[in-house]
Amino acid sequence: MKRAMKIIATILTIALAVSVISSCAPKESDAGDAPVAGGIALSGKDIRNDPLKIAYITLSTAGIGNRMHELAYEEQLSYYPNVDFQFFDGEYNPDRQRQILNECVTQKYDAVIIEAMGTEELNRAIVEAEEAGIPVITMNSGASAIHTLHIEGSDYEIGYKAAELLGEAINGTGNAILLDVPAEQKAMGRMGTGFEEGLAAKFPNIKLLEKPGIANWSQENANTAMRDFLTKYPNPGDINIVYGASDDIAIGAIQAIEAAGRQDEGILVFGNMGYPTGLQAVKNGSMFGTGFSDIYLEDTSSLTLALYFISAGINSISAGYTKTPVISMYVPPITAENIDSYIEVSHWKQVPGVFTS
Amino acid sequence: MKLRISTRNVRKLVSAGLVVVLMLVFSLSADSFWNWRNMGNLFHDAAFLGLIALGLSFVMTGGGIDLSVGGIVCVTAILVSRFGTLGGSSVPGVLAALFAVLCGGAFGLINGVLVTRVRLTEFVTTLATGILYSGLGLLLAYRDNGKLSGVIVPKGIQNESFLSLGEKVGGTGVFLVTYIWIALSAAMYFVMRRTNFGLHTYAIGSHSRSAGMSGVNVRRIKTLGFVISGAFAGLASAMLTANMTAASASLGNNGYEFQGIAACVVGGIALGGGKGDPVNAMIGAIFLQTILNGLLKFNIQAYWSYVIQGVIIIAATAFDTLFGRVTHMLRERRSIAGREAV
Repeated sequence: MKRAMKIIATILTIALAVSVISSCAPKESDAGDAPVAGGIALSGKDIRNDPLKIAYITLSTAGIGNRMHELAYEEQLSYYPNVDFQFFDGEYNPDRQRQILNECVTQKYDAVIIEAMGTEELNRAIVEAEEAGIPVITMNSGASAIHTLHIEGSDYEIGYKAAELLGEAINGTGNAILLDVPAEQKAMGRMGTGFEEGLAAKFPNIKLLEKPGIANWSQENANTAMRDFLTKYPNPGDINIVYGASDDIAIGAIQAIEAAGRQDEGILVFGNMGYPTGLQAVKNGSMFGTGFSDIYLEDTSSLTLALYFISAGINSISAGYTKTPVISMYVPPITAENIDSYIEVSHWKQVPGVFTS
Repeated sequence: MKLRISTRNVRKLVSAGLVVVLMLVFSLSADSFWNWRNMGNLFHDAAFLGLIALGLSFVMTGGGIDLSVGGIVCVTAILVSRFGTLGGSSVPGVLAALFAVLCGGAFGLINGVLVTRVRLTEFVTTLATGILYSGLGLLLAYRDNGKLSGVIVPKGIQNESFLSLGEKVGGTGVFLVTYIWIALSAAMYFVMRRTNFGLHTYAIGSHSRSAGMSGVNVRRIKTLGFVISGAFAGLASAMLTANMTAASASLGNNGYEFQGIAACVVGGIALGGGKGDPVNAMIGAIFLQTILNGLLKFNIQAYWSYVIQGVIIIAATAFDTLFGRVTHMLRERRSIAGREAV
């Protein structure tokens, strides 16, 4: 009994010591020139000469989009050798992203660009980063907490446009399947919503049969879902059009259609993102179309703006934002008609080994 | 005076020593490691894992395994976020945390009943219930205003009292969850080492049948172990949800069960049962979180951190085996020497 009490007493003493010492330690100010809410102006930095640190926290480092991120940031940063740019893997895990964001504050990063996994889960961490003077820029998937900038593709519009193009192609009559973004990201990735509303508004005779969210945007999961639907709707003409929230998802659906031997039924598949696999599929005719999210442009824009915020000493708190500014970037539809011109200008050609034609 | 340290404390000292060495290495190699903010974050993140490992330590010391804690964290997060904002009102944070503990305990009870009454194997039962609980969490997350919808609409929690559970205490820079974890670890150490329940858990972990023949109510002790494991997973879930200001339906995919088990093993709790206590789980959680935190300083990619964690778990298990053999050998020798002296 005495021994147990000794151990408990030791643990409590350590806890007490930790709290006492930490209460004597410098607080948030050690995270940088932290402004308080209401706005002390941040001091701007010389972005050509001062050593700077910028972090990019991805949803996940899996996926081909990251190759384009690397290309875009490497090219731009060759002009800024003073910038230490780091990619962090968010592992499709908001808790992990929260830890990384906290780490960026600890390491006194000058700016953070993040693809947030969830609109709410990172709010506290984002606010803490902004309070520490760090401009936080969300990319594509944003957060509801007020932060310095949100950059997104015109997801809703491309989904709506895909519905128009596919609906016209089947003369406004038939059955559709929507393979949507992961359920927890539906509030952010609105291409599926655009597709659904586009169909409802323009083609009342097209029935939306299914609209599952595809976990992790994965080709395999899309393949599995589509395989199930092909079994559930076994006859030619049961399914006429499929919209995938990403090219990976659309390719997974095409593979399932081919594996079921139903590629001659004329099921039209439309993807999104304009990844090399998607562009190639449009080029070779296996995919009806895709949306072209210019990742290169989004990335270089985010970096340019991050450097501007650092240079000007601006973030949401110092600028007194009452809501997050949003920049929406146009996502054009790509079909057989314009595929060649987009492949010609696509930066994917610069990424080694991803574009074979 | 001759200083004698028991075998179990040697194992703790080894793990704690490794934590100190790791911290020293990271302190010397990374500028941003040894500062109060980082230590606050490290112990904050260790506390979530530590609470899960603390609960698991009861199941594992009893020779069992609980793979459902990830699922419990997921479903409890959704439940507690709904409870915390019940009917638009602001339920006191303490009540919400208590609710999470009760929910987690109830899920643990289901595990316990399935294992001890229905006599299913622990591995399969908890694996299945873990998936089931994660599924329930998603099912609840899909419900919006009482109806099943096709969308998970994340809802930020506005209940200040509940959100305060995820904050730092006063001006100390230390998160509330860290204090709770330390206090509960101390309390559970006492339970494990000084109560009949704890001693019976060891007995079952060492040899379940012998314990049963000696009058230990194996079913009850095992069931209670699962209840404690679930309750702590529930508490961790509430604290995490309060810190993130929203429940995340993807929490069930984070592998908390394996991280918790890893923390226990690295800390020195034997996978076969009968050895270890909550302090081991605590040290293990700090150890794993120190590695994760330290590796972030060098932005070592996630796959490397998994590789390193895996190697560490293998090394810890191998060490335990070797350590067990050596201590057994020494005990034998001492016993022979004692007999010869007589």
